[in-house]
Amino acid sequence: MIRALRLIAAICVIAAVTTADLAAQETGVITGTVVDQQTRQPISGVEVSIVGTTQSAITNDQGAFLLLRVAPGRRVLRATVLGFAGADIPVTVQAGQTARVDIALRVSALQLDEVVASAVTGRVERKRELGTNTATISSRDLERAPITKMADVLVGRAAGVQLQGVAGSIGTSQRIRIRGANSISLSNEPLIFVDGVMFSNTRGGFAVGGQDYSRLNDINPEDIANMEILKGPAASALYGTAAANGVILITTKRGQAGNTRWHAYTEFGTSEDITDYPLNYLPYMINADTANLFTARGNLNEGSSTSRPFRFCPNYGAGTTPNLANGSCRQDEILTLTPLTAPGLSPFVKGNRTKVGLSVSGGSDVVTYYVSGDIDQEQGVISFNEQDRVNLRTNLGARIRDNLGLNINAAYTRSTLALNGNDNNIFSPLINGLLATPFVPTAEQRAGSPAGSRFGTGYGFFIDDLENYKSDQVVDRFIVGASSNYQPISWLTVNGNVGLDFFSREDGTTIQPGRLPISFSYVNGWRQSQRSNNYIWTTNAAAVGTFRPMEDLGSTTTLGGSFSREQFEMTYCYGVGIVEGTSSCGATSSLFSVDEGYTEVRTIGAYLQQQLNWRERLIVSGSVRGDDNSAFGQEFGFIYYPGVSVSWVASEEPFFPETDILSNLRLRAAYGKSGQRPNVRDAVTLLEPVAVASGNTDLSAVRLRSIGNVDLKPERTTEFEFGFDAGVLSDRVAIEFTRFTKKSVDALVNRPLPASYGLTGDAATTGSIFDNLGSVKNWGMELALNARVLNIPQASANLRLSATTLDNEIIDLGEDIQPIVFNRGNQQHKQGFPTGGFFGRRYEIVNPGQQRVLTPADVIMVDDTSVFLGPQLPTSTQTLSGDITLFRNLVTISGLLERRAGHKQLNYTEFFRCQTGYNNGTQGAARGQCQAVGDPNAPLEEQARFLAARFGATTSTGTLSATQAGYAEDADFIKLRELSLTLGVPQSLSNRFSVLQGASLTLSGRNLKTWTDYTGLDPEINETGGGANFTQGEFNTQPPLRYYTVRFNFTF
Amino acid sequence: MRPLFRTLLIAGVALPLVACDTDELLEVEEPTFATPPSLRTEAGIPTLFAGAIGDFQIAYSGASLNDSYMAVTAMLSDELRSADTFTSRNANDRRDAFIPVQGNAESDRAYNLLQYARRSTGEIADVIAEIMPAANADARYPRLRALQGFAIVALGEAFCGAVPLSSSVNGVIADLGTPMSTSELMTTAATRFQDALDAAALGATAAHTSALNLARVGMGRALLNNGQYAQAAAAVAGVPTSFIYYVDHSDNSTRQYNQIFALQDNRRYTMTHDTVNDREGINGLPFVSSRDPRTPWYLHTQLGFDQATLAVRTGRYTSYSADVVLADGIEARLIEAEAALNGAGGDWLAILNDLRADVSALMTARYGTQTLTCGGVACNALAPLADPGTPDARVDLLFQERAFWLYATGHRLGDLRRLIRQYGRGAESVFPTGDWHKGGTYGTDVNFPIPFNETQNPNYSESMCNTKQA
Repeated sequence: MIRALRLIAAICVIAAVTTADLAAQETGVITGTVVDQQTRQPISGVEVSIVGTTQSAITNDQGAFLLLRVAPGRRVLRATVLGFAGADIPVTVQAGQTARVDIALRVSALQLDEVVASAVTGRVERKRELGTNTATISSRDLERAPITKMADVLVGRAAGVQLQGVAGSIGTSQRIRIRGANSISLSNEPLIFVDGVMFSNTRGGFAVGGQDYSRLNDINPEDIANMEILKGPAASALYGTAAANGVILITTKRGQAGNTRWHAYTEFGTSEDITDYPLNYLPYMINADTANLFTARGNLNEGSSTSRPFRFCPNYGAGTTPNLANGSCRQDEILTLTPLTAPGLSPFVKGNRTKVGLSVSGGSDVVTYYVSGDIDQEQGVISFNEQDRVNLRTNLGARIRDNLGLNINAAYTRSTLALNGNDNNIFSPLINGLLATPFVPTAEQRAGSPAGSRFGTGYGFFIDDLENYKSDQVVDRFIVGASSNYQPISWLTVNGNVGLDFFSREDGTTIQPGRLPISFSYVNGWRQSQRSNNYIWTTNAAAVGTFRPMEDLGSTTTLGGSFSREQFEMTYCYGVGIVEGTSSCGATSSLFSVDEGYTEVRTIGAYLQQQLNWRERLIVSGSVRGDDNSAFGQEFGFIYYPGVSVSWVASEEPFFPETDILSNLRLRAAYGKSGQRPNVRDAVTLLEPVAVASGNTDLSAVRLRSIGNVDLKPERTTEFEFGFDAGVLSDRVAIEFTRFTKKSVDALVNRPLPASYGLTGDAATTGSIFDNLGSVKNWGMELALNARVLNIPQASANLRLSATTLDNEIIDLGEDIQPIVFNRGNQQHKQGFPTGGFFGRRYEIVNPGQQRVLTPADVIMVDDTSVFLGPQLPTSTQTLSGDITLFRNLVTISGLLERRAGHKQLNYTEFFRCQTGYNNGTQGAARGQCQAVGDPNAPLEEQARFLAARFGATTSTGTLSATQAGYAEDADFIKLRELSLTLGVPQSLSNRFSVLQGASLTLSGRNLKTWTDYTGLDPEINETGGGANFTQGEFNTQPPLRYYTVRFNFTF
Repeated sequence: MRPLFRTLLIAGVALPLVACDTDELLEVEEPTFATPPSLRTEAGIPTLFAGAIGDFQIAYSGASLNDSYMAVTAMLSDELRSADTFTSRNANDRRDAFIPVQGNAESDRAYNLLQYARRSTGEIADVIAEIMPAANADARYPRLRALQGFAIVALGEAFCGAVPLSSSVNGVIADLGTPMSTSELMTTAATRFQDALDAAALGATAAHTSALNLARVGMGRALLNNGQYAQAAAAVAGVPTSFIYYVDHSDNSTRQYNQIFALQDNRRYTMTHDTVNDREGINGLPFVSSRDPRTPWYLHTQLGFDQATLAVRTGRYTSYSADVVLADGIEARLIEAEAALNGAGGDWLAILNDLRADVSALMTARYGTQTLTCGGVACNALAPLADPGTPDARVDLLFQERAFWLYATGHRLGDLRRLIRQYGRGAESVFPTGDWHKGGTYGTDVNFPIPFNETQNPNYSESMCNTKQA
């Protein structure tokens, strides 16, 4: 393999510098327009390329294109665009002449000629050449959608692609899952490339309770031309060690030869919290001072056993039926309130967004350009959760010679985020509201105690206190890349690219003295700061040889190599006792802590791909890639990833009956293998430097940090998929069906060791060892239906439906490995069950038909041990989207619905509300305040799950044991994700303004409606955002916000 | 392009590529961490030794806001109670442990850290023995061996009697241990203490003397746990009352913090106290209202973390860097008093009263004068004890004295279990019981379960662990 790599390098260099004579010959021009065959309307955005060359152009709003400096001779023009069938048009070009070609494209919902550009080989392939189902999201899909951030682009637009853990805090991250989860202990996130440059979607920043920070949203959706999603190893084998979870290829917009085109837009909108928050309950006994609730509250003193909420009556836990009318458990009234929505108490404001941007594109036959700028500002529903983002981009394309093209892309992002405390954090506005007493504090009470002791909130903080706790993150990010394609001789193309994704991140938290005086460090104020630099260098080179050994047989051979380097470096400081008004570790006076970190990973790879093409309708490809990586074990060298695919456009065979009912049919199948490297330090046993106190001094010391495994090799995932693409009713309806099976072998399992080894320390020393042990299987089906329901000059309508199923199972966890338990014991990786499945002991109610106040004795345990309750990943997903365009594009209405089903969500919010209490004043005790605790008429199911979790239930073996199984709820939901109305400007009006080529107004809404039986805050939020691999559950998590947006677009 | 130029360019660029070595390309730096071989030298021993000392510190009484042995045992016993919202801490306080599969972050961490310290102290002691020319004369060796013994004692006192002691060396897994009963653990600990005693006796430096006395007290504690009173008294006989071995803490990094101070500062734990009584769960001792100078206290400026429980802090630990007494002459005397009460000779009451008479000096030597106040005013004086007259009452009195002298030093849970195991008391007559201060009633646990991860050891199963058995 090493020899092969060297050979490739040599070939590339040789090819790059041989022959320069082709450029010298005289050339011609091709120009023309592209229109809809049926409506005769011009089509913009059509890519018109010259087959066999690297030359291409994009049509403008009038459907016109221009190709300059075309070598004379017989050429084939290929026109492709989403929504229309591709067309190959022969044309003869004469030196010094202009050839005019007008192209009429037939509407087609089936996209066999859409192209996918490989980030590794640089090759552009049509979908008909691929044996896999590759999802495409184009800028057209996004134009009218209420996209507030990059993550929105991935929601519901591609079958098998899911964004999970979408919360409503601004700037937070989500999990991306494509066709399930392959890895038990490593990341399940896909690889992302932006214009061929590997993009870091690593998260990180100071913890604020749960939600993590998003780097995906550094990408400006406005700049996206299209996204291709390779869903698994069958499609991504050539991407090697990192691509087991699929690959997302993002291509940004580029300029077109022709007139300069300006596009300006402005967008503003609001966001709001629309959650139906649960009531907080307080049962109480009215005493003599009945008019004064605050006095009545005094009866709840722990010391007075005469008026406890009934759940806490003496001996209640022992099974005594409480007496609700008299005596020790008397309850006269039940007070309810939710401070999260109560006027005067709610921490929420109406959020707002503004966005403004301008782009200019154009060019000549030699140079094209696309330059854009975008400013995006958003304030969330917590007033100090804010993000400002500036995106700048310059994409330059140059035809240095007829046979040499060069693209340079440079993007800059500056993101400034303030993230409030959330989820599992006493400084979270939600937790303070969800655990608050149902009393409205008086002004005196509000002012009468310090932050941390405020009456009427869960942990004693009002929203103006909480503003003192937030984490600031500033990111400066540059993504620069250059790619070239060089055709030194007619059968050989050399592609290469080099790029860098760099971002510096500055995280800081400053607590000013005395603002939140809960403990020493908060009384005196503290500061922590981390500055880090993140680098990913990407380098690829490939030589592509195209031959035609027989008239009907084409051959394409690709030989190439890759090198990538990921580097992270950081410095950290912490100190207590900060000078008022400052925000620097240098301004602190005690309890100092510093740290410095560095990690680096390098990967080198080489590959060979051979494709055979029989009359453009039977295409067979085979490939092999070899990779070596610095994180592999010491004893490990190159690992190989093969791939093979077959695509057969059967409907183009002579024997295939020509019928409108089944107008097109392609059968496809693919097999491929990709990998995933171990984590940076998993192969090495390491000692961590620490300080150790000895008398009055501190000594340098080490502790065992991690246990390495020198035999580690990458986890490998094999995928086989097959299916068909069919055009029905003259291609007005496209049906894509795919069946896939993925299996990870040598799965890297972070194997927990028995703690008795003495290798399990505190959080930094996990007491586990990575081993290539396991096997995980994902399998399912994807069905996509794309229908052009209507296509007449006055109106058109499209309808898209996708449905996926997913099964996921741990085939093997490793010999003698017991289940790996996490998420407070509620989720497990267990052999024979889905990854991260929910487990628990089920219980049942004795005599469930009789509404009453249950006691612990009324709840009995069904299971003696934990049983499988349900999967973490949805097993069934459907999306329905569509658009209707009326009056020659004057009015467009579009929408997106998504359903997910078959999975579980842990409602830890409610569990905690029932177990924990509110600020009951200086004398009271904390008590649960959910309905199950406070309301004698609470539904039996609510009471039972509280009792089972709090007091436990007795198993058949006589053991009393608690279970949280009742809080692992079905999480099925349907959401109306998007709805928009776009109004265009009539041609007659725009004609009056010679400069204005187009304008539109879009009114849109996002997260408009949820249908679910899930009883928590939201069925898809996650306590850890995108930060955890499998942990799934809400815990005072901010639900998604509803957005209303108004957007103006101008093109001139 | 001229052919010659083109050829030179090809050669210039291609040849280095062809010649490049992929191994070199994949070589990366690791500046952050060290590897074991780099420190297994004579020069590296001070660093390894300090690391092992640090591992014990963290396990016994450190780990910042994360609980370790001293804090969790104080919580399960009557020394401290939860002012927290964490369900795991509340479960420990309520004597109602989570089932292991659900995991209890606090008690699980205590187990993990103790096993870690046991492995670390033993492993580095072995390294010293292997590398140093006269290992047994090096005072570091017996000190580590003694600390290893204390780690085993703590495992025995806190966890259900089915604790395996597996072995690993240098991060490489060796043998899986078989679960040991509490008695077997104490016997095993005694072998470590004996090893330490033998090695410490070979030297005459202050460090050797300190290690010797540390091992003596450790041996006494282990033997006491097995009801070998006379042997225990004999083991500690040579320990002067002035002897103190501290687990050192520092405010240099959060993991080095005195954990009880940190957790009380953060209002998670409070001394047992409320407006009605401060005897936790009926059987608890009045550590606050007695105003005893051995359990000084002061109020936090705010309520507990749960916004409901009054936060009362022990005056023994008033800073992150407050050191913790692991073993001292007071404990040696208390062991002698218990042995005397059990017929090993000596006047048990006189021993106790001698200590009480010197309370000011003894407490000041350990905790400083500024801490000896109770709620901001001077604590009460200690009067001499009178013989209560009955065997049970004498035992109660002795254990009460132990509770006050050894308050918040990781001894109380072991003592409560000994009262059941060795003195025939019922669990509900010594442990907190009845109504729990946040509602509901106390459970019946008398020790902590072993973390679920131990089930990865095929020699161990959950059914071996009984949290109701002392």
